[in-house]
Amino acid sequence: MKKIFFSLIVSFLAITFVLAQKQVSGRITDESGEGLPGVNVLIKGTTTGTTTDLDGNYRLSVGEDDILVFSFVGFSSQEVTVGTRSVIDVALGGLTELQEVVITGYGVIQKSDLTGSIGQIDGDDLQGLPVPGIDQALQGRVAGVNVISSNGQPGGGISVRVRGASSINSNNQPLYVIDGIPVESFDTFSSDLTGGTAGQGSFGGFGGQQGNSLNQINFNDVESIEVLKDASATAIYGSRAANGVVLITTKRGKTGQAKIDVSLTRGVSEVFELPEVLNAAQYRELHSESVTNSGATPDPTFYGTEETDWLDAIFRTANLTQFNLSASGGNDVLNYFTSLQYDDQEGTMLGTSFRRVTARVNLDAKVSEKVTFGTSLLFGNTKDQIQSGDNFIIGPYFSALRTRPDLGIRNPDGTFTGTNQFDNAVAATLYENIFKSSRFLGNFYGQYEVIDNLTFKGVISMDYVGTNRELYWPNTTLGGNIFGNVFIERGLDEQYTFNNTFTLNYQFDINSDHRFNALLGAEWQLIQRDQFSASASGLPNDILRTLNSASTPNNVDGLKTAWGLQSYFGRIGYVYDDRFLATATIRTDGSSRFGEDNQFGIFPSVAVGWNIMNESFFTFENVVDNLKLRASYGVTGNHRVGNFASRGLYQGGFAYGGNPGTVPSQIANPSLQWEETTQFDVGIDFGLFGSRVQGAIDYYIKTSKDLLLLAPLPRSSGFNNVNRNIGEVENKGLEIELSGDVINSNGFRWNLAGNIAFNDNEIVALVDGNDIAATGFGQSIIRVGEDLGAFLGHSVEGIFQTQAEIDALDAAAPSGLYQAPGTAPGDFRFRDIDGDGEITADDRIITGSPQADYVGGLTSTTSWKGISLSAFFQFSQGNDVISLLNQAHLFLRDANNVSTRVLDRWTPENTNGTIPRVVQGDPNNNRRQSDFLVEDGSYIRLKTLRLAYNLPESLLTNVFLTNATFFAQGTNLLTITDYSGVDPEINTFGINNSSAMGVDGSTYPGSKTYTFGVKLGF
Amino acid sequence: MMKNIISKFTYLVALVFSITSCDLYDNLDQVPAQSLSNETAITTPGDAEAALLGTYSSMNQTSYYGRMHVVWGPNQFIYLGSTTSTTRASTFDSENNNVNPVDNTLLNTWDNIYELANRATNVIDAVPLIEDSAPFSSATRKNEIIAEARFLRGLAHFDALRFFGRFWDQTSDAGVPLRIVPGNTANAELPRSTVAEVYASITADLDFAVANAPDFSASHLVSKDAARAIRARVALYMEDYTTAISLVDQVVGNFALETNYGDIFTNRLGSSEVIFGMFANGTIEQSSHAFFFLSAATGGRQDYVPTAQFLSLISGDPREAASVSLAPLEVIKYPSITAQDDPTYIIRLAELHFIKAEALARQAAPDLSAAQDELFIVSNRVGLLRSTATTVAAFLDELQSEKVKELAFEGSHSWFDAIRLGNARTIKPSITSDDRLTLPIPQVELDANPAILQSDGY
Repeated sequence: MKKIFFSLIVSFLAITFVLAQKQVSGRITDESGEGLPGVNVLIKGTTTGTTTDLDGNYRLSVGEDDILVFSFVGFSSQEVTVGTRSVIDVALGGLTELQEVVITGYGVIQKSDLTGSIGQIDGDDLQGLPVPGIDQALQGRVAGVNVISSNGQPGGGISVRVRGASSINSNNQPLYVIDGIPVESFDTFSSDLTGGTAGQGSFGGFGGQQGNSLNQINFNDVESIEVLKDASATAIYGSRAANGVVLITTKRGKTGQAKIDVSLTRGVSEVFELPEVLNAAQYRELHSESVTNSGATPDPTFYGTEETDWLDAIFRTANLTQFNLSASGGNDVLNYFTSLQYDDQEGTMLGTSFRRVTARVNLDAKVSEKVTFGTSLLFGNTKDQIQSGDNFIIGPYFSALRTRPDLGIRNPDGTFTGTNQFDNAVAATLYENIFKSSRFLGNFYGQYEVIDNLTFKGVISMDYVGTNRELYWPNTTLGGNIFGNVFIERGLDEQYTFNNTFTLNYQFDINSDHRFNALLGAEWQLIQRDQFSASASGLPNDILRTLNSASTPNNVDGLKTAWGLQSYFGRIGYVYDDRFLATATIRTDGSSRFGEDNQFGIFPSVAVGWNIMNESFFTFENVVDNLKLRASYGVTGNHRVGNFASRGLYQGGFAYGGNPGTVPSQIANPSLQWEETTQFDVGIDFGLFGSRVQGAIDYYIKTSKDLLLLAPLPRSSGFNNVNRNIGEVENKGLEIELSGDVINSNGFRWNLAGNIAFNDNEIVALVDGNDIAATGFGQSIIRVGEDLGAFLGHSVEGIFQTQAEIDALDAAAPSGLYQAPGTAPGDFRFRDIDGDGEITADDRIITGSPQADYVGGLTSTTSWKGISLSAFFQFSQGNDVISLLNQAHLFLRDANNVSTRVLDRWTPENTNGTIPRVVQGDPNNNRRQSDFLVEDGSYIRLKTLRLAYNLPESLLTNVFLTNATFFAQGTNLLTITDYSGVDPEINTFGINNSSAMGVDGSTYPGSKTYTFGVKLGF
Repeated sequence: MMKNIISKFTYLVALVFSITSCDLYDNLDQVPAQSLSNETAITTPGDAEAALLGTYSSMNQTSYYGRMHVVWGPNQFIYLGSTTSTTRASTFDSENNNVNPVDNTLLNTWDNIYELANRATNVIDAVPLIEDSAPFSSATRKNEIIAEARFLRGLAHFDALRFFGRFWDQTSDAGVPLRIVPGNTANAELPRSTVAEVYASITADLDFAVANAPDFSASHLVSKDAARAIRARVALYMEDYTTAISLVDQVVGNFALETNYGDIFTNRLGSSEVIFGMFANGTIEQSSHAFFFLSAATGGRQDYVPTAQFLSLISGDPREAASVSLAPLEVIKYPSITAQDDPTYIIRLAELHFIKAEALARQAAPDLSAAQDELFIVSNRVGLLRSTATTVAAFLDELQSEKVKELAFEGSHSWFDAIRLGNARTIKPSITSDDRLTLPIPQVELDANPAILQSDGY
């Protein structure tokens, strides 16, 4: 009935329109008088309208009683009654900060009504960044978001932590939601279905190298990124929200003339300054000395006569090319945004690269006043070529740091030199480890306005990520050799995510004092992952590289798994008199992962806000134009455990008498449930001097309990352990965001924006209070009362100067031995912490923490007449780094090369040496985990410096351009740090594992990048 | 027009629900693709067979029948020495009867035994619930599967008792935990049962197997004869000589000693005298005996080497050449270093003759002559003379040393026999307390299981 009535009105209006028709024209400008192209001009209550041309002019047939609505994104709309006028010029004012909308979970909200803590990044800030991953682009932009690259591999995995790490065993990455589709980031190089850290390959992994499933997203397509931080904002995502939620919204077409943007960026990267290693002469001297110190006689025939700079041999100046094309536009019915991107980045290390091609189509069709259909389609394809890294025996960087400088790269017969211990560094770059990932991420939505302000929306989506693994290890490599003649592996890893979301959104006012905004929704998600791999060896030559060419099958493996999530959620927002705000959300998630007893979990949140500046007693309006207090409390979860972690399971893979059998493989825990995080947040938002200065301060306490840990079982049960909800971790912190125009006059503008986040992390409870060893080599520990992943080791008291010192300690020791049988002057003296007269494992202490006291970013932007210069700094203070590389690189104890720092080793002549004596075998175990390996990893880094020039419009009109920008950009140009290694911003143990952070293995170092580009708009 | 769109929209929503409903909307009921739920793992005859094979497979682990079962005894006793490869873990001081509870090999042995017991218990628990009408391969097959599982559980508990409990003292409280209900979180913490309780459980399991197991078909599978043989061994340990003799008599006729002693180790599980052994084929089912016994020169790592005491005992014996090599010095009963398919001989006919001989000599009314006849069956094969002992004690000494030579490195017989016969500490005087005749309970078990007590003296 209502619809018929509506149709009648439309018809009536249309008739009226035809009858009283006349021409009206005008020019729409911004406040400074510049013409605005593409402004929507619509007759109110109809679909009739037009858009302005390049100069902001429009012409339209109207009736005298019509009201024209002028609207444009980023500007306040204006309505003008036509009356008798035939020329209507309008100057549109920009939106005030508070009128802008913020994207939230399953909706948008006006900023003034927001009660949660949400960080925003404008897509424009991401343009032209020479990094592959969208997660990398978050770095330093939002307070409380800490982003750490694992290594210098272009396209490698990234660790993102929102308000600290809350889980011990599970993945701590935030949930990504791309155009409304929840998407998990995962390691595309891994075959570990539980999201752990293991890589694969028949050698067991690639030493910390991880793939990034977000690389297929082209961030030139991104309109905005919202980081949901407090429980009021995140709880609507329930069991996946404990690590924060990152909403990525892509660009959509706008009504108006077609807009075509083309940009081309080229550049080069150079690796950071590498460690200095001994040259051949120094090596011969120190190595002989170490042999002598071990009581043997150096063998002169051992040493080669060549001089090789291995590091130089495996690094290069790497090229980078990015091309981006987008076209957008639309009319009243159909809006479109399409884009194409090509991105090709060489790694600075030989044998590493990243290549990406993406295409996007976003369409919105407004088929009637009430019904809109649309779609967002992404197809992305990436190709990663990687080498092993991080203390891995076949990693080129590890090898280059340690291979003897007195050997040549090749033998006289052309074969590579090397040992059977690890590859010649140059040979090690010849491994071909190629991962080709394709992603189709598409959604279809339909939206229907049932009655005014009541909207039903359905989103149906499919996400496919398929990674094709192609390993080819030639015979010249150790890996190829070990397996016989050449090793090849092929594999496919496919992940399908199906997601359907249905929401009902209703906005209503009871009277002008009481505004409500309500949401109800339901969501179903199903994720299926399927993998197989096959490997073989024995290939006749370098040309044949297929499995059927191989003589010896090696291994066949395959896995298959799935999980599902079923969710119902709701939210109600209430605003009283624009002064008092309240929001309540609830979500219930049912997951196939959890035990029968706890399959459904409930995740509520409440929040309140107070817009103080709207109070009558508030009398500082001339100075303060925004002042809001917020408080929120809520519960979120972390669902990342094995898909079947709660079940009692049997598995195959066993045999007797040659026949396959099954065995019980996992003990059931039907009460297993999500990790649960409760978060309390108080915050204040403020704007001063007409929004010239804006900021927000938040304080939070985030307690994560029921953490999933493997609790040991009595082995007489037939099992080793069981998944239990035991651990507890607390994060407390303070976040400050501040931005403002320092100068804004005469066309010169200098804007400063900064953020800083303090976070204090502490482990509150573990299974029976027992320590848990973190991933790695015993360098990190998980211990109650300490930071997650604190470093554990001995404490170096000094260097023994005389044998008498050692003898005295030995004499006093109960066992007659203080430290080690071979201890001699020049060796470290470790501190006897427990005072029992001997150095044992009990003398290890916490030697540092990888958790920073505070991290943040600072952006300075200056612009004048089309020229802009922006500098973006990022910093981290108070985090320690433990260098496992130094464990190999500061102690000359075998035939491998070491750092030039070893030149300052202790000798009877150099008794003030900072490095222990060189000695074969290291009998004192000087290299053991100790505070000697721990350094302050604080740093401040000039992440990007960008100079851009916009050609003045007067030059463009004749060449059919709407804008033209030339820019030059430098990335990672400057780093200030006390850390003695190459790069303090490291994370050997990769993206997912939070328990071992700040560990510097021989990680493929990052690089400085210089790019130049041009961006043209048509 | 408008109405049309709306109805199409509604139709579309309905369509989406309907086409995806089967998968997407029932998404909470996911089934693991590479595992089976424990509730449904054993529901058909095929499942039962697979779970039984899985149970068997747990014998083949390096810390159990795959290696340590034949190492622990002679290494704790005087016949097998450790090399530097063995002692790379300072906690593994088995040679000096000083194994540290934190030792990993110790833990793995404990684990492997209880894995076998738990897997068997799961089969014993689940198979009776399968409908009798289900298509088992024969009418008796269902009971046979249960019988095979009960045999394996009995064997596991017997091994646990011998390594970790005071098996020689049937009045002792220091038995071992009995895993006779499937392990779950509620029943995980088991105390030690008494030695008598453990023997009662073992004999009940084995008696069921004697009654219900299949007839002998292949030596790697449990048979009635295998059950009788192991049951006879248990009876001997329990000093129940009548039962031991009766069981041996039921089995001996079904097997025949090899003419040449060395043929046992070339015919392996196909040998006419092997009653039960652990299968290995070098693929998934590898055995690592050769790797740990053979010297580097022969391609092994040689963690264990025959001792001087063993060499002097075996020197000149006809069985020497099939047992050890002198240059390089190594145990050679498991020669398959490349294929890694050496079996483990769990019980063979010769042992049954020893059991009967000992029982005859030790029964209430000893029959020394009959005992000597029985022993002579075994020693005559290698051309040795009949025992001329004039006292039971002297005969038992002779029997004990014959058994060491005959069954050397095929199990831990020498060690358990010496403990049973009460002369372990006389032969190895460095053992200063009976406490060191058992291994300690692994620390990991103690930490997780407040109900269990550590072995005395550790």
